[in-house]
Amino acid sequence: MSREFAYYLVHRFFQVIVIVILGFIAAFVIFRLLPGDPTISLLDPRIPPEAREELIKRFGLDKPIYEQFLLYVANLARGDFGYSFVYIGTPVVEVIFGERLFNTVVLMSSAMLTSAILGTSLGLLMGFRGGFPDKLFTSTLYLLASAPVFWVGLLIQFYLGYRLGLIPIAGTTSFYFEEVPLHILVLDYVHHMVGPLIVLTMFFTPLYYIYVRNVVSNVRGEDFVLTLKAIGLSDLRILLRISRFALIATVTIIANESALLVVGAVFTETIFGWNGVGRLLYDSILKADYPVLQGIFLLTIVVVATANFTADILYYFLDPRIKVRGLARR
Amino acid sequence: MSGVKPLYGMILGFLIMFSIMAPMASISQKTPPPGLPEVLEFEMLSLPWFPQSDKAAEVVAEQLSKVGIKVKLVRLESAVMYPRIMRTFDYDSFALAVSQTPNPVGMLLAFHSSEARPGGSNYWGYVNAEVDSLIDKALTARSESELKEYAWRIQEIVSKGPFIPLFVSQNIQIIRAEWKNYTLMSGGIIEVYNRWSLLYMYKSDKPEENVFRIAFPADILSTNPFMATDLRSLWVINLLYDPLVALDPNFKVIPWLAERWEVRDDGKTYVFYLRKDVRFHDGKSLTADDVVFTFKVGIGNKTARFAALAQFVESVEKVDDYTVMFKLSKPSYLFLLSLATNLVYIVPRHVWIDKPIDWGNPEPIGTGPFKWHSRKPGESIVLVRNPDYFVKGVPRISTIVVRVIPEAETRFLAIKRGEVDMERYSALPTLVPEAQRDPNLRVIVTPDIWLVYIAFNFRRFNDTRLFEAINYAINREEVVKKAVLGYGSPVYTILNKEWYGDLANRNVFFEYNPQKAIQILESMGYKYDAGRGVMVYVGPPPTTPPATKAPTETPATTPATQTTTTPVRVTEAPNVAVIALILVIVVIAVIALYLLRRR
Repeated sequence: MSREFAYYLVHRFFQVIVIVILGFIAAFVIFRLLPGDPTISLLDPRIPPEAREELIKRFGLDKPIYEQFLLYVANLARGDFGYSFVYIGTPVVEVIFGERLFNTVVLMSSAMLTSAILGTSLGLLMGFRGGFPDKLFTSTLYLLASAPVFWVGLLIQFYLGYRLGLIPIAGTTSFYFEEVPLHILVLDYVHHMVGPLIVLTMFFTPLYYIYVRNVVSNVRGEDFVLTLKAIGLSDLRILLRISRFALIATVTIIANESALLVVGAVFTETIFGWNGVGRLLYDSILKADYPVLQGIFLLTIVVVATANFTADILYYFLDPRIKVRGLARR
Repeated sequence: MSGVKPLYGMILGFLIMFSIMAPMASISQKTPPPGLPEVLEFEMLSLPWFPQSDKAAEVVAEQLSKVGIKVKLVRLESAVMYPRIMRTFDYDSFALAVSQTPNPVGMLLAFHSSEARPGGSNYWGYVNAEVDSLIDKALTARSESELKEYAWRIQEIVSKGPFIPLFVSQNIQIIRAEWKNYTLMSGGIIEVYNRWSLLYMYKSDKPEENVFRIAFPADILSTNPFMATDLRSLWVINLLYDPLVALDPNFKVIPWLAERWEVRDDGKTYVFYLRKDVRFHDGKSLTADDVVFTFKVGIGNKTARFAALAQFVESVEKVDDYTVMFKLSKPSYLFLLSLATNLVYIVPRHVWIDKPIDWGNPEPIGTGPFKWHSRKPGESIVLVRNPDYFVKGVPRISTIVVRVIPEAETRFLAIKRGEVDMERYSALPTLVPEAQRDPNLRVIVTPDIWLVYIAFNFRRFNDTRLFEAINYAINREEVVKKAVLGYGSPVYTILNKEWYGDLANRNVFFEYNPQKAIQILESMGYKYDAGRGVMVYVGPPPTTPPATKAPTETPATTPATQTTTTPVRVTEAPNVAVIALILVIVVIAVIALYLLRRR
């Protein structure tokens, strides 16, 4: 590792930290600027005003916003994310970092991995080959990309789940109180994941495909490819060389979409009753559950910043030109 | 040449706009007295995710437009809408649904002037001294019949107020056909006041097969019996805990944890004798200490569901281990009723003694028919049968699995596939035909507890004739047909007729009569403005109605289309000056166009 690269890494790392802090302050303020009153959204409308005042005091909402922020940061430093307004008496850590985060990360990472592999390899092949199959795949995948997720989800649920009975209708498990061995639990979990996974893969694959295909079909006409051909390299070897360009595209998309890894997919999770962060986020916004929202956003900002940091490092190895440009600016 | 063309267009556009707008100005609008709007145009706030009231608002808006009242629907999320309705009072009108309980106090108090404050339940700001005094009397009524009499007199007055009830929906439960022995009650077979269905329901003679799986649209918010306010949480808490007194299938108060009670001192003292065979899930016996503790904590912390009791209760004292004495500040029939209907559950003192009131209560311990087993937040809750329940032989269900499935269609498919047995709330009416075709399902329709209504802001509009006109202009039958596909019944009263009797001989009924609505509005001084399609204030008509109108006048284009017999008089003859002005402008324009063309 060169000295320049080390310098670059440290520099980027500090940038990441600054971005996380700024992003978090912005999120904290924005949620409090949003219209909505957390004490009203969760209460019986007939609650007496005294009880409401009690709640406001308990939530600390009677304090000025900067004081709320300082308190929150102080608690955060001790690893305390606060208590949910809506799920009374439940710590935010329990609300987010339990089953929900696990479910979302498992679902989203497998969906992103599947579609990245599928989209990139299809895009490589079709972009390189061109012709009718390319047109067929491209138009089909454009169609898929523009199909609304909730509609595709309902169709899959109805036909695969209800009509054919191949997948369960909803949920993450069929065993709620029975004692069953672990491998059956895992299999059952995967079985429940099939439906949402199909929907998400259908949604994500075109992203990778379209990007990669365009890169490859542009590169195909470049001089160096012609040279390689003239040297007598087989198509497969040329494809492998070109794939380096495609990988940059893939890494970019993954970094861009990394937020979804922890935020989840609201529609898909809702339709398949997949108990994840997406639904929690949606409900929390509706109910103005500030502590939970802050928790999710803090998590998201950290993940996005980390993913982009990692992507930058990967670019360095994938494309030498980026390194030159990145350091020449200084 | 071609560069001039846009100019033509602009001139022409101005001309068209002007000629349209000119006659509008012809109705001489006047400033109405305070409390009446200049133009009968209202914003109506509505919750998009509550289809019953949202649909109803749509239908009502359409019906009111036929008598010249314009309603603009504004769809807002609850976190934005509720503060506007409840705290800042920044609205014209809104459409919502309210859950009715067998206890009339909540609904009646919503018309008391003392509740017309930020956070009070009188969102519409209704103020009427006679209603106030009637409500005060109802609060201290000594018997059910006395209470009912006051309730009727209040309803007769407020039915002409800003709160306009539309319909009470019906509860549609779709349940797997193998389940039997449930109890039908108003509100459905598993509403929280219905303690009976889940005690006696079964599908098989083998106990371990009686696993009842129910789908919730969202997770419960709390297992804390003091703090929970949503009906999902309370449904679960209701199975884990017991109240002192309960409601029988006819909504009569019956003994529950208390095996009997005595009323002393002319209604000022209630003595409850507790059952001696009740044990908490952890094995400890229920004693008077637990009851006293529960009420002291609940009332002392001003929690929502104890608030109604707090106004009656002066003190709670232990007499002996199984006897509790309540001293009331004012004797009232409503004390006992509120004990049964306010979902006040007895908690174990030994568990709660060192806990804050908003404790998360992760593993609830109560006396109820079911015991806590486990919970996956956001996904499922499992309750198991309490074998030591004090009612012998029940519950017959061995395990209850509560699953969270957010989508209504998904819940239905899951019931059809047999993944769950039924869902918590009423099913969508659109799913009923499909469910009736399926031999594995049974559809149970009962009256529900949701009253769908619209309300106007009495702080802005306080002339009750306006609300009377609106009442006549609403076709409730049609609202029920369009909003809930006929699964509901039109209502004119604020209290549920299942509990407070029918309309017989009571003056709280408006037949659908748009002409009458128009007549009332005209007598108030409004006139239909065809240009804007809405009634505007032109000042009260002369006391003797004008004998004839000029025959040249344009025949009225009635807003109430087919049914109208007395046509609404529309625009007055446009001003001569205005016509002359239009003519001049048209002539100038034509000349201008001609000149421009020549160039």
